[in-house]
Amino acid sequence: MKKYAVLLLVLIPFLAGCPKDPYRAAIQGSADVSNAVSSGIKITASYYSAGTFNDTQKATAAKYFTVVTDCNMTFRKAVTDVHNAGQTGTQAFLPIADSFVNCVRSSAPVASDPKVANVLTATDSAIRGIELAIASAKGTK
Amino acid sequence: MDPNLVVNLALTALNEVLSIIAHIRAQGGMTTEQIAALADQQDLANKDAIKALLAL
Repeated sequence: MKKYAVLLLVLIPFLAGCPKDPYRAAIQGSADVSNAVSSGIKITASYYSAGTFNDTQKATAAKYFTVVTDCNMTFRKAVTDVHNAGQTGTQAFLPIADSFVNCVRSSAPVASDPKVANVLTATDSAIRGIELAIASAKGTK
Repeated sequence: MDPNLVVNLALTALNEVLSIIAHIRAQGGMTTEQIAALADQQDLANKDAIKALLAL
């Protein structure tokens, strides 16, 4: 049994097809952010209903999710435009991912409250992960 | 150990592996455009969910 478990652990990354092209990595990263926002909204609603979040905390989280969603839609459109223009290299997509990070940073509320910050962490990590995914993708430099 | 138990454990583990592989293949089988279209739908759903959240 242990041998099969080890074999599985070795095989999964290959089956997942880790190396992606930068365009796919960017779009997949964007989809991951959308999913993280969806989860964050559900957690926020749950916390508010349970009394863990007050009105201010709920509003801060909602504002953050709104900003991220708008920036993410802009990001995905820019990525698609670059792809349709025939660009394939990682260097074409990295500045767009950087703009996404800056878009959120410049417009989203600062979550100084640790309880709110905890809920936003997964989404923040997904946003920062896009640059890493693009940089790790196989593509013409 | 009971041989039947060993077989059952092995079958359960195999089913888990097949389930994981099917999931990974399903994701890998989507085109980038399909992933983008799903993300578009998810973002629109998120916007509605945020409105509902603010109305709570």
